[in-house]
Amino acid sequence: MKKLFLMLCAVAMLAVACGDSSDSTSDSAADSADPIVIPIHNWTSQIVGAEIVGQILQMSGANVEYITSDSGAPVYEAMCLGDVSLVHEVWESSFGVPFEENVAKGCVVDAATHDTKTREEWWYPAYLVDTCPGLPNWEALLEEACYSALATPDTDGNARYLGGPVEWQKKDPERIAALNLPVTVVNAGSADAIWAELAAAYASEEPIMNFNWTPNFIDAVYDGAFVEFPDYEDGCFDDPAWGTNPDSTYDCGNPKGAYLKIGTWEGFEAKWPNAYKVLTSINFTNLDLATMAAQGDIDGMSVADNAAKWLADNSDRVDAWVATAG
Amino acid sequence: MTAAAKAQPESLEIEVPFWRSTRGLIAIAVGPFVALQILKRVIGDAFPDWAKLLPDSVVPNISEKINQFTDHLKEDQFLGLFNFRQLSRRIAGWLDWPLDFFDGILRTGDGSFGIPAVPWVAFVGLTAILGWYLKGWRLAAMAGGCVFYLAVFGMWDNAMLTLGAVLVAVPAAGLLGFGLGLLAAKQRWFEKILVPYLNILQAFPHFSYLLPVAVFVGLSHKAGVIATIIFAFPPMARLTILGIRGIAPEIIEAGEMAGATPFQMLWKVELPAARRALMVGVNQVIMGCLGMVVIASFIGTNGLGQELRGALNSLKIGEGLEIGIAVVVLAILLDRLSQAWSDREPEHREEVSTGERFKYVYAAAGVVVFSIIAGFVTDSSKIYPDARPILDEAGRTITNADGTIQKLDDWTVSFSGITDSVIDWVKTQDAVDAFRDFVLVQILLPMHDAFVAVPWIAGLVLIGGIGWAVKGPKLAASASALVAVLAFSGWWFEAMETTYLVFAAVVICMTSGVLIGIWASGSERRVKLTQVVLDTFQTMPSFIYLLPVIMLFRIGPVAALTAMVIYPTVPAVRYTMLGLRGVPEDKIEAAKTSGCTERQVLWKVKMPLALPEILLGLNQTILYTLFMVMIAAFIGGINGLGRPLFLSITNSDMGAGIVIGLCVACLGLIPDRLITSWASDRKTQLGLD
Repeated sequence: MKKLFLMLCAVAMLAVACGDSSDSTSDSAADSADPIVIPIHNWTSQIVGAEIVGQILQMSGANVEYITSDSGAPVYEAMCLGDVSLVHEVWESSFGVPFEENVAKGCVVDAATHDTKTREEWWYPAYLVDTCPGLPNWEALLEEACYSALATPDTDGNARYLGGPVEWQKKDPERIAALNLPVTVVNAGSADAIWAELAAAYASEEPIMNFNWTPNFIDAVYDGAFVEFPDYEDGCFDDPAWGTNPDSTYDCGNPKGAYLKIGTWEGFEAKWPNAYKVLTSINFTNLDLATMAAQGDIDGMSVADNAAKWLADNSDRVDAWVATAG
Repeated sequence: MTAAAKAQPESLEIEVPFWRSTRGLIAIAVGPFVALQILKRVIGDAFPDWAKLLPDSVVPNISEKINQFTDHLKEDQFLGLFNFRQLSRRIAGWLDWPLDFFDGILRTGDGSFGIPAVPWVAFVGLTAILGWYLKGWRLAAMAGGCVFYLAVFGMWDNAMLTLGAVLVAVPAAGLLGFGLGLLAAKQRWFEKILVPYLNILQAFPHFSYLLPVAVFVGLSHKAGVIATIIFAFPPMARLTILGIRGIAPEIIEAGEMAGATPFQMLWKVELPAARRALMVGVNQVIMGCLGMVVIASFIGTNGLGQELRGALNSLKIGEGLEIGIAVVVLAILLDRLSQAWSDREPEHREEVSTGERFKYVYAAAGVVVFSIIAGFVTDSSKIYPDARPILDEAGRTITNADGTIQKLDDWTVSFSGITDSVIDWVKTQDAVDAFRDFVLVQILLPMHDAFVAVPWIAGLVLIGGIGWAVKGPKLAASASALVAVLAFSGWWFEAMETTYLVFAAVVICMTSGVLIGIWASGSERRVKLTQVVLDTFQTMPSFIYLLPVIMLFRIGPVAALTAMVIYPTVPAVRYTMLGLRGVPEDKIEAAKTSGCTERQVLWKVKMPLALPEILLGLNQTILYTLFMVMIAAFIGGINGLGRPLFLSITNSDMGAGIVIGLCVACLGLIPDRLITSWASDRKTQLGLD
């Protein structure tokens, strides 16, 4: 038994000793030849964007490697450790919490901000206006004709609102209570689940109200709009006195202009200084993301075709980004 | 009642009275339902609050402790030299070597030696020859056809990535399971440690160990492979113990008399004698590894799993189905080849003459020569023209002047158009709405309310009582201890929300599974056909069902339940078939000579004798259902343990993830304890052991 333990210790030390030599990075200005690791998540604009970012970094001479991963905390944990070198689509409202936590720890760098403004809100297909004429104003939901049309047998006569997965932590129940809405939230289990139900409801024009965000491919496929709640202002989420309900927080909509950022591992700039300059100059707009999503989800282009088309259509901008390398 | 029917008990030599022999079964089947109804209607309010749901103040904060411990492993130095995470990463790094090796053979080739990857033409040919060598032309056609499917449906590259990972995971899981199982079979003390650990591991939801693996191994291709190995090895260990222990003592004695050394004893006596059980283990490992393909992609494993999730994410269900079938094809290919290899070994030693044996070598050489020549004629014989982009040396796509990229020709086919039009039809089926609402309002919601109203203390007494009825105080104590774990975990309410859906699904799966099993065991042909269907459904990634059921039934419990019942029906059918076909011929003959009709033979002889086996199937069905209830959380609209588990992953809260995982494991272990102990007693009574 003791022998076994000693052997294990020896193996462990050997393993650590052997590995460490390859980790040291040189201080010279040239980029390391180690690959930059880019994560691939599971929505189209991100997958295509990862390919585009990867190709732009390759143009500046870097080696690139892709891995697939969950888009939540695990990828930020991995970026903190350097297993993943960058995340090029950090959505404030979905991943702001794990991102900012790791930035505060110092292991992740808030490298750049895209021009893209993101919005996440309750959404309805255009045909729902026939049943709820007051839309997009949220007060349309207070009309009986409207909320009972959206009701299902398990919602006690309330309208059924199809929310995002619980772990996205939207404050829907709080908002419903604050605005006194006759609405019950049913949380979908994933983004795909929302799209599947929307596809079926849309095909037979059944009433539906669901969580949605922009930019994504929904804009291009379905005709519809966001519900307009009272505009978000500072204080709404933490000061009860703010807003229509003086006793409650969350009596407003989500912020409309949330950020989309590029985050990197803290060691990125030191290890690949040139690539870092190029990466931080990359800047996607709402139109860019919507185009990538539409080319993939509507035109059915493969990721490679999609990325190539975008790169060709935007060659001037891309050249300017690549030129920032020293 | 004829004299013949009365004569049955004698011919079966069962002396146990009916009530004593089946009371445990009745307790398991009816007990929970009756008790629940009584609870809800009669004494619903009779319990004090603490007996319903333990207050937070007495729930020990285990997850906090686990988090402190894992933080310690992550950050703190160990012996002042390195921390545990560095160690685990280095060790996991050793997996890179075999992974790169297979990747080189199957996909990338070896650049430094200028060796290309195996051309698809050669791969199809060599697999077919392997099938021919192992079993004959039928297997040759099937194996070659399987590989050809991967090429012709345009998923060669991803399939080879997945195959490479599986070729590492299967031997690793197999050897790990075999090694541990062998040690446990030889050393009682080790078995005592290993078996409970295997029980927990098999009932533990995968999502609970994704996060620890991601942290201690790092998000990467190999992380998913490691998660796969963890998932796939327990059945191998279990079946190794079973196989080695099950060897008749005479065989061992014969070996000893022949003067075998310990090594010879193992290699020449025990392993051949235990081969059947071991091969079932290998089959389970293969199925398990391919069952993890999609889940492994959550922590970085590339290949078919990632591709499948991408397709589903943009609602390309037809494409998703093609990828799912590719996973099934890989599973069937590996399974059939390994089974054929094990069936074949004993005979080939003497019978095959040298010339006979060399014909396979000639054929293989022929394939290699052909593929080399074909390689000079056209590149399409090396890489199947599946419209993939052509890459330059740095791995970049090459763009033409007009912005299009250079690609291979497109020789692929697809049936996704057909599937998608079926899906389009499904989207507009509103006739099912009434059915959905009926099931929801009349059955599921009342069931939900009844289950969540169960006070933990009632659950504890109930399960303890069933345990007592089945086997006595010892089982009563161990089963109710598991209930206590649930109560003190602080997740009792959520656990009951999960239990209600699992209960409903298990009822559906067992009813349909047993009926299908009875039908299928009617003839040899049906058995063969059913095996293929079962293998298909066992390895088809369950994620594929999720979106169509939502389109049909909308997000909610009905959709979740529908998606949940397909996969767990597989073991119900399998074990029913196993039980019915395992009934000794002499007993059937005896019944027939006593003048029983076919129906009587089935219900009065075969079914009672097959019952223990069928109940082991129930046990597996429950475990599979627990697996599915976690996947069904991706549909949403159901509460229970699935959501908090995903939330814990999002929040990197490893402690909560593990505690919830243990709760799910408890839900699986409680029926497992009760059923296996009833079934083994019953088998002994029936003289089947």
